[in-house]
Amino acid sequence: MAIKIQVEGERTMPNGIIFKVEDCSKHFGPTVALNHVDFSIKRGEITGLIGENGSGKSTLSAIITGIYNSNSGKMFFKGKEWTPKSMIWSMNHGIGIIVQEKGTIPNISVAENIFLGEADKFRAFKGKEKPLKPSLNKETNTWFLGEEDTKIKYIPSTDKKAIHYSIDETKHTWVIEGIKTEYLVSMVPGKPWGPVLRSRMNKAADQVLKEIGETRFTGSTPINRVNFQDQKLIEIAKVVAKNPDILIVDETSTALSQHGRELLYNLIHKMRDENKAVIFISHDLDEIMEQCDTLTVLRDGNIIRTFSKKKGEYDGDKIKESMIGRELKGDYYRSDFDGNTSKDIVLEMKHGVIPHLFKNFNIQLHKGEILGIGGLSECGMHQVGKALFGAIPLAAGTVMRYRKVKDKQTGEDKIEAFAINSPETAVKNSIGYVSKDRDVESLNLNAPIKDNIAIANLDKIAVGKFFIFKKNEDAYVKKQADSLSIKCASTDEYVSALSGGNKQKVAFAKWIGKDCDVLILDCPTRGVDIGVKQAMYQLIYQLKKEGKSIIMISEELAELIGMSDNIAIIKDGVLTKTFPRSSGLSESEIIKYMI
Amino acid sequence: MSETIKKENPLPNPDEKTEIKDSAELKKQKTYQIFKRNQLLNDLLPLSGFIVLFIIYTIVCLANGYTYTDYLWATFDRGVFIALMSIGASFLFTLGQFDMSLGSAMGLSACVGLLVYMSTGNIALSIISCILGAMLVALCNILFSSVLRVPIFIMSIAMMTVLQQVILAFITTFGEKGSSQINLSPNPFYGTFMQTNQFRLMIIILYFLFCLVIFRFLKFGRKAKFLGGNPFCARLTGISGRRNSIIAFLLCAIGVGLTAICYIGESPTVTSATGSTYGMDIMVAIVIGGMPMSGGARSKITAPLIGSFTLAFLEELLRAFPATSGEGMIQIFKAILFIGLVYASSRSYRTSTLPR
Repeated sequence: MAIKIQVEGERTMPNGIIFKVEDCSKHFGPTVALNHVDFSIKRGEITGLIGENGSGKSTLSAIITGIYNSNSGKMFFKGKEWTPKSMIWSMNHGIGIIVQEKGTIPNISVAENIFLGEADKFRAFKGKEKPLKPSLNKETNTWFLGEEDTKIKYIPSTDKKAIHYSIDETKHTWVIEGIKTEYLVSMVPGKPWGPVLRSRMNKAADQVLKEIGETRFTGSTPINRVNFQDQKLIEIAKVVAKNPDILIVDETSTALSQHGRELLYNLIHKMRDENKAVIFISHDLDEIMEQCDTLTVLRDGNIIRTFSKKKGEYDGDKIKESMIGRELKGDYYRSDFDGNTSKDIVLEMKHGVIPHLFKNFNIQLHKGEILGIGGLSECGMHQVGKALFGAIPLAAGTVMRYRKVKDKQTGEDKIEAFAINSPETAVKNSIGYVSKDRDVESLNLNAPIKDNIAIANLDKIAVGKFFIFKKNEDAYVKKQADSLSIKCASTDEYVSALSGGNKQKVAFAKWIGKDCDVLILDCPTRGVDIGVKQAMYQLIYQLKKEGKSIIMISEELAELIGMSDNIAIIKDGVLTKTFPRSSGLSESEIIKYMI
Repeated sequence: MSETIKKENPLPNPDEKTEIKDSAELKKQKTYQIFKRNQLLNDLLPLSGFIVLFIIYTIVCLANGYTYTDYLWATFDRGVFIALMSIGASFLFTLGQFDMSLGSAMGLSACVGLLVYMSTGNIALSIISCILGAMLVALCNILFSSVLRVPIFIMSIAMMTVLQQVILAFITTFGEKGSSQINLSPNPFYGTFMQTNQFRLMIIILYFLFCLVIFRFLKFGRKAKFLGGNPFCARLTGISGRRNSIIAFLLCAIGVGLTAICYIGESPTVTSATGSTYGMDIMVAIVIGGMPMSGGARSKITAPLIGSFTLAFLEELLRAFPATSGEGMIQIFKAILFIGLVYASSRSYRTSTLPR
């Protein structure tokens, strides 16, 4: 009886393709996220995915990594059909992803986050090794050795009797039906036991951190001591530790500091040089054009076009047009360079102190002013925004809101000062706040769009001060959703079902509808596509023209230069310089005061 | 203002997009209809469960030759106590909080009501003191959980024991010497409207309507749901967690006080264990009624009502069969049902990962 044993390894795919998606569709409740998509990734390439919010980029990457199951279609990885069971499974089998949302666990160490679910690797004692037992699938005549992707094909020529196997211990090979094979017996490690050796885990984490170039913290550092931006680096380290063949970076760069971005770029270029593949998703067109070798544009769940850098097809305007399905007309930022504002102060922080963040901090916002606040991400600017909204109590100093009120006796207008010491007092004094941490602080994800928009303005919707009727609420919410073109089938949809940019629009709609006189916007265009970004800038400018005062905190200097009347630069909690609006103002001029 | 913005600065308009968009829109509308239909079916599931259970209950009653009307009122009595407390408690649940000591709070309120009657002989004063007793307990809860920020589960477990000891102290101080209960005999409420089923029916209808209006049509209801869904975001929207928590405790206390009134009206006897099993029943009722333990946007004021009576009918059905008629067996069955429902709801929450 002839026995042939075949070990399946990586199959070659044409043109260096490592991963392929065929006819993939996906819908979430009412939303069609992907519509019969065909997509492939090549080895040694960084493939960019770009598209408007809700175009299906994140959904595609989530399907590739098993976060979602597709409704139809097939996927192939290294020539074999790819049916990922979960994100962890996918990561263990060669495809890692870094997602948009925060993915670290609080109150544990950096090392424990990097090796989450892998404590067995660091136990004191190793288990006893055992030979890997084969099993036979009688339907396909295939021997399996543990996992399905290490299978041995058994092809009996004539006799189809029951098959037996044993191990030739001298040669350490399989013996099937008395015939020795060429396939070496592999040993399965036993289950490790005993206590988890933290020092070993920390050392391994330090090694991974070193690999990505991070030296500011170590494996033993508690995660709570690592700031929001750097926590994203830990997620990157977590994926790198698995040594994936394909890395998917899903809109991560906006959550990183400049230092973090550089580390990420080095990492993806290193992977490309090692003949691995990277899918890079970003809304920053300049960034994606600089980092990626090819660029695939998605729109409304369809692949529109692929641009190649080598072929010289990178043309910003054409890419934008493919993304939004129309020509991008009008100004991107505001077109005027008149930075003059009213002398009336509407919001002021006087001698503000927050220990370890800033001390003796003074800042003023005038009526009709767009005040940009910039700096490195850890400089304390985000905390300044929160303190101005009363969300972080000041250890010393005050935040005052100046408003025009009618004098009860004379009936004339007068300016009165109100102390802002809590978000409640801020909202009462017509201040709105959009947080950088959108999913946690700006939105209630597990609630309908309707609830999120209406909640800030119940006073306006209420009939006779107290009663809220569905009809009034629906009309109010629809008006806000329409004015900001929120892409949804109904405002009854949950916010969690929306794309990043549409979530941001909901966070905006909450305060725009309330008609706040002062808006504090912390990274307002984070994770927002180019079309919506332009519209948001125009909306902010429109609000300024209506006399509203806006504080725009941002890590993007181009955005601050393009939109602000004045730019306040913070370095290590100190206001280093204020730049008035000017057509000649450049990023390099500002950077000097940031670093 | 938004109107102006739209005219001057139109955001990307869906109409300007390609044909692909149109077919996607159609699909979107179709799948949205399916989504709405599924949502409606999910909403109707607890009510359907209740109706099915009621039909089985009727069949079993008639098959066993029970006096149907009497049996139905007895089951209603069982359900009405849980319902009154769980309707109030649903405000706490909506905020993402819970209180295991509500049953004991009801026991204390009933005890206070009976003691006031014993010393004054005035039914009206007795009724008022039941409500005031419940309010006093609520104020203690507010002090610890909302003002001093003691974690609510620690506070409620501690309060359960404390309240039982307070009832015991009242019994030993004001009750008959050597007796472990306060028992008014003959029943002073006998023959009064307060002792009738109609009284309890009226109380539950009025209280439910009162809570329905607050939950659905007042700002507090919206704020409570939002706070339950994401307290961080609610805080940064200017909603006070403390103030709304205080309102929820007070509304809950009204339910507890009303239960105490109904309780002493039916049977004027109180021991230190009075009401102690209701804590678990309230949680089970709310979950059976289709409300998540975590509160938030999916909270429904109808859930405790449907859940309480479903639970009451279920208990009576279990009692109708010898194998499940024991009190211990019923408690085990309820506990399993509770764990199963919480697991099912958390499982559906986990699998519905965030689509983007």
